Amino acid sequence: MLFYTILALIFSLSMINFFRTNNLLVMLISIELILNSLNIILARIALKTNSPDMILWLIAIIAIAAAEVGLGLAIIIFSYKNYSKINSDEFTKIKEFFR
Amino acid sequence: MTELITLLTLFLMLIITIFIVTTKNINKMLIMFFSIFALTSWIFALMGIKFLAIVYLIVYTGAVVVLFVIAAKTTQQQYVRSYRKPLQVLISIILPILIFWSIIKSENIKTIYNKIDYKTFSELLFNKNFVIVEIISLILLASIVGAINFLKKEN
Repeated sequence: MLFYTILALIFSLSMINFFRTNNLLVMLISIELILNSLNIILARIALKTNSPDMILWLIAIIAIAAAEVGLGLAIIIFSYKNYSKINSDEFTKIKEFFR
Repeated sequence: MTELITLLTLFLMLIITIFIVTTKNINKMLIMFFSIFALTSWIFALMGIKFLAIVYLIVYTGAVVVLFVIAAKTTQQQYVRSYRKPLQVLISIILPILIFWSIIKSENIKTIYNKIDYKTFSELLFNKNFVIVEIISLILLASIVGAINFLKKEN
């Protein structure tokens, strides 16, 4: 019970951090922290219920998180290169750029 | 004993997360971010999933955090601003409560705490679920191609 409560707090704090900033780098860090807490829960449930198949989905989450970081950081560097800012407010400008 | 150490490590992770949320300095944030992943790897090792602990160390602390540091230094980020958004904060408190409450309710506590060895892992990845692993690797490849393509475009 305490195990899940601490992880829920980490999840919640990361979500709050995601919403209260407009810096893309901090947003990505928050998403990584959310996925990290979910990974620990998934591993715990996999061990408790004796289902190693769940570990496969854990590895899938790790791979997708890595892919998301690659694309996210490309967007950040793109935004900085073209607009000298890495704020989420610049997203509308990026959308116009690809039209 | 292992359970107690795991809980203490989780508590340390919670303190570090609070520090990440409250700090304005992005360099300090990244150092704490690194330690979160190192601690997660330690938790996996304590749970007996050594393969995953090693993967976590290689993928996250070795690659992802380094990428974040490079991005922070390239974009010359030093301090971050934060805003007050009460509705979003409320959502981020309620949503985890709902998710974790359902997890706790559905968990079967009486089952045994088993260890997963390398043989089970290799069978799982390259025998039983070979197609899923290939799809995941294709997603990774697509993200690499996408990132390169994204940065190639010029204003």
